[in-house]
Amino acid sequence: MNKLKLFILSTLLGLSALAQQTAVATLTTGGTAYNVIANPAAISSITFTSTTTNPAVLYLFDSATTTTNYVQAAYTGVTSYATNWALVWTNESDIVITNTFVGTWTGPTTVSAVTSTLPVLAAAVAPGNGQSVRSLNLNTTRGLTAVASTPGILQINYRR
Amino acid sequence: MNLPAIDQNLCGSWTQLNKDTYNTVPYYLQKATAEFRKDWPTFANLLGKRRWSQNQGPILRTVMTERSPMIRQTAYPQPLTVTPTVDVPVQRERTAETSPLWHDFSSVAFNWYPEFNDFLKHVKNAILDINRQIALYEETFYKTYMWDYAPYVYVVGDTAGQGIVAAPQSTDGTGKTTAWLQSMLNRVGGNGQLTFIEMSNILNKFQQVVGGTPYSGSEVPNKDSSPLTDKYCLVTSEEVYNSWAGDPWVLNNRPLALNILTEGFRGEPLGRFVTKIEKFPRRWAVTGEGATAITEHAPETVQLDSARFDFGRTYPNPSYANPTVSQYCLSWVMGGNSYETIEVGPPPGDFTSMDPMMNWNGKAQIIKAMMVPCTQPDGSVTYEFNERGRYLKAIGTVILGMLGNNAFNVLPVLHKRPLFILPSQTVPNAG
Repeated sequence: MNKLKLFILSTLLGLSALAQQTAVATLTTGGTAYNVIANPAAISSITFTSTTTNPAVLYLFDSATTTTNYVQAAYTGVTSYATNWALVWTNESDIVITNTFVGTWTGPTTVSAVTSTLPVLAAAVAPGNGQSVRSLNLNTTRGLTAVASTPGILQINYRR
Repeated sequence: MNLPAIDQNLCGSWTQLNKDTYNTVPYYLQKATAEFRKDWPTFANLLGKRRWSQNQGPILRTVMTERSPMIRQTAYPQPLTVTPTVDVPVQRERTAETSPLWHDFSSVAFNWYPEFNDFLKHVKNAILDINRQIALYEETFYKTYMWDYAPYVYVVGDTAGQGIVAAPQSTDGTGKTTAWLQSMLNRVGGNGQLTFIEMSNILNKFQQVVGGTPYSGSEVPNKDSSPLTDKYCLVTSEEVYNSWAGDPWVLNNRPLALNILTEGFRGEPLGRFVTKIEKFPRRWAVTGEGATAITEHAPETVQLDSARFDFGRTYPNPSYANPTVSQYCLSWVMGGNSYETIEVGPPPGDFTSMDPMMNWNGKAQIIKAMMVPCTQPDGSVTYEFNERGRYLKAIGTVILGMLGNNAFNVLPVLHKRPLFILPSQTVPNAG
């Protein structure tokens, strides 16, 4: 019976370890991107520790690499603005009439290709030699990449 | 020992026949049922219907009266001692147009012999299978048309705006291009889930910005200090509905009577969304930083590995089903009287009264009028009529159409799929 209990307990512990994972990354250089998770993940919390005497600002991006930029291809979007439209016509008594209709014009607009920075998923600030702990509920589609303003250590609890 | 033999002494010998000596049946065939999740139509029941009249031309145009806009927020009438100013409202008309569209379905050609010889019948099942595919095609067409035609979309967790985005329109897929979709998916920010918080924003934006009208209920307050009770229809996937049991806002505010432990989420979100579940929601898989490549995977696939015990099974396509591959999903918020589907009726009578009968009612039928291959003495293949009737096919044609009278009343919602139904929890020192 004791062996059975031990087996059940070890199975449960094993499942827990599989379900919840932790990643730790040392961000040794400020302003440099570090890829912490290279797969889609559900982020539940982060602990960020500044390893210098300066406050550190941390930004998290949805990326599977150290790239935080992306190229948005050119496309045709939609824009609208208030305008008016004049119609000049001649009535049955040969009187020229101008109707001015007031409204909003909505039509296509060309958006050029541009290189942009990925949106920031979440941010955290740790005081000098201090720690910031945040509970999060984030789903990433590609992975997780971190950039800190000054060196620090980042611990992430996640599932995937 | 010779067999048969006579007058033998069997002491100290062993006589046995080869076990394959006699006839056996190699397989004991029994009929079984392949289990699968059932299909159901969602949009066909949500949309209105309009009958098409024959001999009235190729385009159906509906004409609607539009009220003049409310263009003032203040009003200052003149004293009676001066001549009053005047308001001149002008009502307008607008139109919507559509034309019927059609699509063919066909089974492979069936030879008579397998039907005579094989264990199971095939023709009847082929007809049922085509009928299912026609029903799925019809549902997919409605969704495709509404997506292409939609004047607005809603982006969950919008990182560049308020969520509601004016969208390019078309009826052939040329409006909402892949590059445009890339820009929208990149705006899906943060958690990206279709949560109660997002639904509250969708409700307001759909009412205030789009001018969406209700799916059901009165738009007019029925008494003082009473909220509006009109409702909108939210069509979403099963996994999103399930995820509401773990929605942070639900967890913080749920009444104790809402038993999410053993009964899951029940009710209408915010009291304003009638929810319907969609079987095959549209999903997108993105790869590359910034969604530089977007792929749509087929919802179902076939197991082709003959070494597996489920060889030949039709099952959910892993690339479509896995939220880490197809990460984005489309849900719908729908108001009332948005689109009408076109009911065309049968083809002209002269074409339906004699064989081969022309038919486009979306139901499969068996035909024998076809050409079959025939190998000539010189080895060349020619085709001749199926005059001996040894082949048949199941064919079907469906005629479709949609009329976007009030297309603004369908709001596609772009969001991420939940990786987990319940929110991820912090486990100290896990891992």
